[in-house]
Amino acid sequence: MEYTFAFILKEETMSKLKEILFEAIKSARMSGVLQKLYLRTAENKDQAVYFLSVSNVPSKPELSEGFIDYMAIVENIDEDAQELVSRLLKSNATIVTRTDDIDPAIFVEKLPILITLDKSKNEAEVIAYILNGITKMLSLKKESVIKIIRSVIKEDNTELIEAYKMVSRK
Amino acid sequence: MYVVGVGRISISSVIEKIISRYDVNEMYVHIDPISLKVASDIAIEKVRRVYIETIDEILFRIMESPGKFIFLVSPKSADICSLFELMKKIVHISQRNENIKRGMVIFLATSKSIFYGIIDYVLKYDLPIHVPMDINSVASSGVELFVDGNKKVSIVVIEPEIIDMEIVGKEIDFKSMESNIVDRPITHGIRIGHGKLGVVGLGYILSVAMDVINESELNDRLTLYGLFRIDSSVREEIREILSKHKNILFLGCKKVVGDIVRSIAEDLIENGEIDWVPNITFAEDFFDNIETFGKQAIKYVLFNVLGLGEIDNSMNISAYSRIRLSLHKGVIDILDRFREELGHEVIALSPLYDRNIKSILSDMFEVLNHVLLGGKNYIILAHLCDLNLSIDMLKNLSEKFDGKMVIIAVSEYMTENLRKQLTKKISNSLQQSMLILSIDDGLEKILKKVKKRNKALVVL
Repeated sequence: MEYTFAFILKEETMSKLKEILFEAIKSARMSGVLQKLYLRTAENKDQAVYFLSVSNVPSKPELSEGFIDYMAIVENIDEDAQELVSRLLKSNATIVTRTDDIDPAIFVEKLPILITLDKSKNEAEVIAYILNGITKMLSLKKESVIKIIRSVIKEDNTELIEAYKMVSRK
Repeated sequence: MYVVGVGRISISSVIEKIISRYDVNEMYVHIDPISLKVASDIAIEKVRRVYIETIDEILFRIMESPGKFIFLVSPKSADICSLFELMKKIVHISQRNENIKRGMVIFLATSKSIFYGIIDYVLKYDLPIHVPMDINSVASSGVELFVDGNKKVSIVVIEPEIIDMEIVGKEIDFKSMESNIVDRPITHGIRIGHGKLGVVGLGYILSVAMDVINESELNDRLTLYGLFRIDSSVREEIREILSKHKNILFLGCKKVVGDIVRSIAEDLIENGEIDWVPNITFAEDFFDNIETFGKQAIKYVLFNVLGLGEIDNSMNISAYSRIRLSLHKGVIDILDRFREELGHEVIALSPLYDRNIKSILSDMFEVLNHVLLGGKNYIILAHLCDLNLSIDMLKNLSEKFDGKMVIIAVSEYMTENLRKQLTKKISNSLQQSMLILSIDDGLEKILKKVKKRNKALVVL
């Protein structure tokens, strides 16, 4: 089992998500390598992307077309950057995004599973959606994920746990 | 059963483990944003943190008393030369003097150009350095220094790809590294495979190449030479490789060893040591614009050189690594408020970064030029330590610039004491030409005051 994930998120959101994802990867008895790299668009602009590769042995993320299984874009990025990141996606990969953050037409060639969240969703809800998708791919049970969230955030009744419970119920 | 935080490796956690395992008692941190960031992730308390304002200070600290140290520094291009002058002194003194500290000097290269700049100086100054290919090899540099008793100071240069990397689900096996050092002599690098093509790599690219060679089973087609340690003996090593292989591929080191390789090859031919003209290829020549090589790029180069068939190069995505400090929401909100109220143009001083800021300049000299020639009103966003490192330039700016200007000094990763100390120092140097304010005074009050003055500096 080998997956590569890509995230275009605010650093603060990524930092919270990372803490939980790392524990989830450990819980699934797998290894992961997270790397922040900048992609150069045709117009010579930067687009920061966090790459996370998960496999049985630590393996660096691939930097070529068709390698990303799951991508979260929760920032408004320009069309040039969208075209570039769309090249990274595998066919039928999953994209989690918010309304108006991306133009779905740019990604249509890869026939992705598009999960569009409402713009009003807060950070906890966005993290919950991403966690739900990735932990399912890692074959982790809902109860295990809740335990992991609790152990990382060290509080019992938080917004994130509630949001995750809500998302994973669907 | 798992424990939160265990089984994770990053540059900070490796340094933390070295400190704890080898009883390092002092950690010197150069006052620059990246060194402070790396140091802030090191949670160990038993080590004494000393903040180094001017790099010369490190020499005196090391000579103060025996013990063990780690020095973190992230140089800007302009500082590399003076840092190497200092390193030369440190290495020479450490070779002659028993009563000085033993330790690691860790250079954190924030971009590839700074990394190449450092390697260039290494070859000129003939100083022995380690260039780790991954986070594990950073640990092995520490093991080599603290277990093997021969060396006093070890200089380690870390590439941006390694600084910005985190691994989960793996631990560093210090025990086996230690037994390796005891069992066999330290070599300059590694050798993998036994094929006719000689492949030479340095640093991060080496670890990517190793992955590709293993995955594509190329061991019997090429011999990979990985350079971990660089000093004057690198020339000897390259000479040996050129004498063994007719076809040699260099991965990611054209800028630093390109000329050396060619001159050694010429020398070998002239002296009759080889009776062929070596076919020297550089991986960089296969691409127009590449900094960070992914597996696909390396695979494309290797398959092409080995004649194993075309791999689609259009699949490769151009990426690069930079160590930047993204602005936090709190800073962005304050910046937006200033922008709304004042309507000035915003410029930022690297490593601070936000995709909505169009002008991000690399040093204070560029800021000075931009502001003096631009003729507009400005909001300048910079890290407090970078302002402190260029106080003279800041003074110059406040005296020569006629327009309106607000400098917002970010103090992230700094202790409260350090923040106060640097604010006081800047305040003493600029007090007549600029209004110095702290965010602790309240944003609304600050905005009112700033509107009345032409030049102000606000410390966040």
